[in-house]
Amino acid sequence: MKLLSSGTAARAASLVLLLLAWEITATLAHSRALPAPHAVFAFIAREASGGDLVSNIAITLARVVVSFVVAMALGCAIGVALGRSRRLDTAFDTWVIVLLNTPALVITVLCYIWLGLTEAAAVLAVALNKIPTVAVLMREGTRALSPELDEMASAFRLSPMDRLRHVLIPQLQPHIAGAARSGLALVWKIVLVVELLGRPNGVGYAISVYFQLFDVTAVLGYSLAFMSVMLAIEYGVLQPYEAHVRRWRLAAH
Amino acid sequence: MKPMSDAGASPLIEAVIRAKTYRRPDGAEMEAVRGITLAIARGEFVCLIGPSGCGKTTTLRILAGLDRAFEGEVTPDPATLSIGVAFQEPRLLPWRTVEENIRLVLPKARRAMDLAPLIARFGLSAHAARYPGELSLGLARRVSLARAMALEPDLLVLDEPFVSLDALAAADLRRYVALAADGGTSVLMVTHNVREALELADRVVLLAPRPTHVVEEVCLALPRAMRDGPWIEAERAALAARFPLLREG
Repeated sequence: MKLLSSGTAARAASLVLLLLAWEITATLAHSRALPAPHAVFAFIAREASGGDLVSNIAITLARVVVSFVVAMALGCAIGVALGRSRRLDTAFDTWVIVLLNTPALVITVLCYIWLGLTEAAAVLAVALNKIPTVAVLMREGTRALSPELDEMASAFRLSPMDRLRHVLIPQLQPHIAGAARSGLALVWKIVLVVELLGRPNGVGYAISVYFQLFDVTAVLGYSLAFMSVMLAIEYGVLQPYEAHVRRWRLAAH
Repeated sequence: MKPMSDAGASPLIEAVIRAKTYRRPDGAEMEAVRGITLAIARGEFVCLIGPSGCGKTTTLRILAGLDRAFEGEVTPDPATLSIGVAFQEPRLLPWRTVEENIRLVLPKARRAMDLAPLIARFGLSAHAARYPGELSLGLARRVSLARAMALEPDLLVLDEPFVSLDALAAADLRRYVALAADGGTSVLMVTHNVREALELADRVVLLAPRPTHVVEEVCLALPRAMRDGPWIEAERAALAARFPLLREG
């Protein structure tokens, strides 16, 4: 408990230090290109009460959630299939590598060209960027599945549902949690690019507008506000989930 | 002694393994078993003894229905019997508690039953809510045995269940196995420990080195409860005199 609170205090102190350094640098630089933190926070407050900040964040968040869920579901399914079947892996390994190495920008532009400037194209573009990373992580996780536990499940004739719930998923959960955490960071960055290129709303769109106006305060304000939302999800949802799936490991030590 | 009285009745299970070959990673074929016929009567305790790597576990996996890629047949199909297996390693699910591990293998109709009496019988009450990672190997093996026996199986299949345990923990587990056998459960146990086999089995089946086949079957008529140290030692010496393979055991 004491350790935890001293850790939190250290984090808070480090954050204050960062803001202080930013404030001092901004004051010294005295430039439109680097607004001070208080100006950025003032923009956030103003935009949150009277502007489009909340609706833009909500729209972007919805895109993040949908494409994240699609990418995780498809990526997990593909990864498990590739990890289980050597034949499938030989056949499709190259596809995964090609997709993994295609720049996010290229995938996004192609999606918009082929499907038009639509919501579906945006979500597909983000998901396609994320699927190969999830698939690769899950393939490794599946290869590490224990054949001994598999045989135990056969010996005791567990139903397919019980196997999935009690044998397969718990073994994959640490890999799922890892893919989710690394995935969320990647997804929200790509969503912003996709919005910038072809959506009429969202945080990415707002940033592109303020970029054209050279309003650095607004650009920083938007990115800071959205980053806070993502941090809240990381600490409020993903980390507790990871701690939950690892609880039996902690019990052993 | 039940096995003797059941000798004329049809066996609980019978395996005829004409051949079993493995393909090694380098592609070469390796013959593990060549000609084993093994029948287990209802209520009989059979021990398979043989040198390490001779194919004991292979034979056991075939009998338990876990390996179907062999020449021969098992009658009746193992899938039609209730079989409780305790593997050499406990193979518990690390992410489920002791009680959940046991409950999970029960048929749906018995899933909700009160497991406390069974858990208490195995001296596991204090550990029911713990995770397998918190248990010693001896305790984990006991849970694995309790899991196999919770099924109230027709056949209990044990693969070296006492190996790498200290003498006390091993004796403790042997007691539970003997209890199950005395209760009428058929048991097939693989071991390389001759004393252990002589202490527990109604019949000891000696297997040859790979490719394995049956060298000899020895029936032990003396009731389990009456077998003491000197008797086991005398039987072991007599066996070792006939089968040099067993001398180190």
